[in-house]
Amino acid sequence: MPSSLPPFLVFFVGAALVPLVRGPARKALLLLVPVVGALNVWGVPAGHELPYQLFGYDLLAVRADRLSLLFGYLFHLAAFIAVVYSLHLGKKDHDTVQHTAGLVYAGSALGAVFAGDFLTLFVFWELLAISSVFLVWTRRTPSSLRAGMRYLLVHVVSGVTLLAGAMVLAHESGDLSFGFVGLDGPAGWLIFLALGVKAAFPLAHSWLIDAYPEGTATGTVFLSAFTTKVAVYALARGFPGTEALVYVGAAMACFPIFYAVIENDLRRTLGYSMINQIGFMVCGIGVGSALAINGAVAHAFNDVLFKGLLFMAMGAVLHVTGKTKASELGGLYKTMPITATLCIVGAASISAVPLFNAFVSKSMIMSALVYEGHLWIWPVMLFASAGVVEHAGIKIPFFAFFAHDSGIRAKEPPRNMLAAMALAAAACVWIGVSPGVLYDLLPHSVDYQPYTWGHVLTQLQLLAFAIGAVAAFQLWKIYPAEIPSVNLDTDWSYRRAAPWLVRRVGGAASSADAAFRQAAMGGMRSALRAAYRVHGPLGALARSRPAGNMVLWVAILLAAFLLFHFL
Amino acid sequence: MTGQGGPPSPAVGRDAGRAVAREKGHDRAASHGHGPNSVPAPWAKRILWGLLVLCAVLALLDVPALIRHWRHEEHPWEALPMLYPLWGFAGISVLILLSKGLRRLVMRPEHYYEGRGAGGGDARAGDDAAYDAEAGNAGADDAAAYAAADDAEAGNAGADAPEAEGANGAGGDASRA
Repeated sequence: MPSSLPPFLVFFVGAALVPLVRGPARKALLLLVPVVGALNVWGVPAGHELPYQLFGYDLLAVRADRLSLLFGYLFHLAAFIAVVYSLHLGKKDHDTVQHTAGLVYAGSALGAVFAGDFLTLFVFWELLAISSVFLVWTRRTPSSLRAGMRYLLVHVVSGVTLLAGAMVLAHESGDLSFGFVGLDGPAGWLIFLALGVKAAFPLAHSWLIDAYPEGTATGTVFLSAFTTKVAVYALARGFPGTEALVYVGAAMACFPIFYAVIENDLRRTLGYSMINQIGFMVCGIGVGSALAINGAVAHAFNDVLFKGLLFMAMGAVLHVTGKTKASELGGLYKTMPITATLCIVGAASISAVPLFNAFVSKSMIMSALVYEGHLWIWPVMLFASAGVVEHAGIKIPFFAFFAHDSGIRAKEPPRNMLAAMALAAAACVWIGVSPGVLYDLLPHSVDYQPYTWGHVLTQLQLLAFAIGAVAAFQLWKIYPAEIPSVNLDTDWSYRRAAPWLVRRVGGAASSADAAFRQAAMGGMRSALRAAYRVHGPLGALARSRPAGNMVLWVAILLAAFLLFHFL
Repeated sequence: MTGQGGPPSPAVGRDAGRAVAREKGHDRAASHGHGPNSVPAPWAKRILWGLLVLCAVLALLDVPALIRHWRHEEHPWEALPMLYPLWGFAGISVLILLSKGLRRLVMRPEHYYEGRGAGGGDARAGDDAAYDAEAGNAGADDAAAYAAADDAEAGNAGADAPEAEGANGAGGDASRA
């Protein structure tokens, strides 16, 4: 096996070839890239490294261990599914841009998870941002252009922060290798913040719910798979057992579910749902025990599958109807039964219904919370689990495919979209039914049995009563209706407050400046006028007088002098 | 809303046009959308009854679970009877009620950000008022449509109408501000 080939290289070469071919050759190439990449990575043993030197630093372009290899497998699977999903794109969808950007993006994600040092990580970190923004811009609506620009700015800031942290680290220790960092010292905090922005920590999350719903139907599927999972990987590598992450994760798991209930755009609802799921992973990383890290990583793996499936289902709806808003959709199951069924599989998976994949990963994090003594975080996360059922389990499929009939009679999406969704759905069920497949790949050895009577029963109780509550609130007409609207989130601060502040401060400053200038000008003008009055052509000092006048005055002065002299 | 023949908003309209061109089979039901019964009442009712029965069975199973220690009681609270059912139901209730409160705080008309964002200039008060009016009308349309529908699922009319007004009011405030 040519195991020396860096995983990202396969994708970058593929991306370079994409613009050269069209039609069936393009499709074959797109499908071939993740397959070749997967074969390449499958042969890489744990412990494989590819060192190089730059600026006098010893760097690692590839560092394969069980953690990075797991994400490597995951990203190949995700790339394959996303590529299948986007095979139908034609010229009018700007397919070359989308396909190239998709492959570069997936390759950058692979580069980032296999990077063995912070400098290599930084390069791929920025490449992730630059390549993925095209998947937003290609939608070519004014709002997607603006959202893409905001997305890019946030991620470039994250990258620069990462670089700053790496520089401080190199200055302190002379070593750039990417291992455990921890929160001691400024380098740790800078890197933590950089990862936090990409992982959509609370208050730094709005780029996600801002940009993901603006992406193309196919682009958002790529987006949902890579960026945040790279951040989760980096947190698992650099900050396992950092207690702050437990609380950050709990906050991430909880606050988005409130927004998800009232959000009208179903892809934005999925964005909130994504933050909620990352919250579980971040919490697990914060707990830091072997079981918790396993759970966090396994949940990241599963999240790519079920969240990808849900984004694909909503992308399919967008593709055939041009809409993703709950207030404009409904009743689609009549003409799109396959998409509806696959969406429900995704909904069941994310809700952690037994026999679906989230059930076998989320429970590891929940158990680890109790084992490690986070007894007060456990009920919070249990609440967040119930919230998932509400927004992702019920709301997404219900408002898109059932609810009130929107009158739209759209056909099923193209076959490649259905195939991609079916693939993801099959993976969700497969992992749910035989979790050993995934457990064998996890970084730590697994001694965990998800399928016990108690666990299955309690989970079913939680789910059934949560669904019952949703149904009851619907029947009692208390459930928040779908209203065409936007909800203010932290992006308000830079979309409204900052411009307003700039306008106000700028306005105040400019009027103060104008007043000052006017006063100064006025003062100068009156000084000039006074000088003119005295010195001007008609001024007192400019008058010409006859010589006799002067003689008279001299005589008067002399007389006065004499008078004083004799007195 | 736009699905019922109202004027589509600019962004949606463009996408919709493209999708229509792509998918020839895309057609609308008769111009005025919301069919009277959307989720077919028979199986909606059957599902609800099924859910009720399932909840009852699962709640009853809590008895043997407690006696036989199926749960292994990892967390001290797990020794409490009916913990999971109550937590699930109460959690969702709190979630929904708080979310409704959150809506009052943060909900704005659909086009709130448009035109004012990057390089939009600030002379948009008139346009915003137009957006607000559109959002308000849309909400009212929805409420009317809901009221027409008589099955359980689409029965949000009561809750919908005041919230639509709320949206309009909030929008008005925003534009005045």
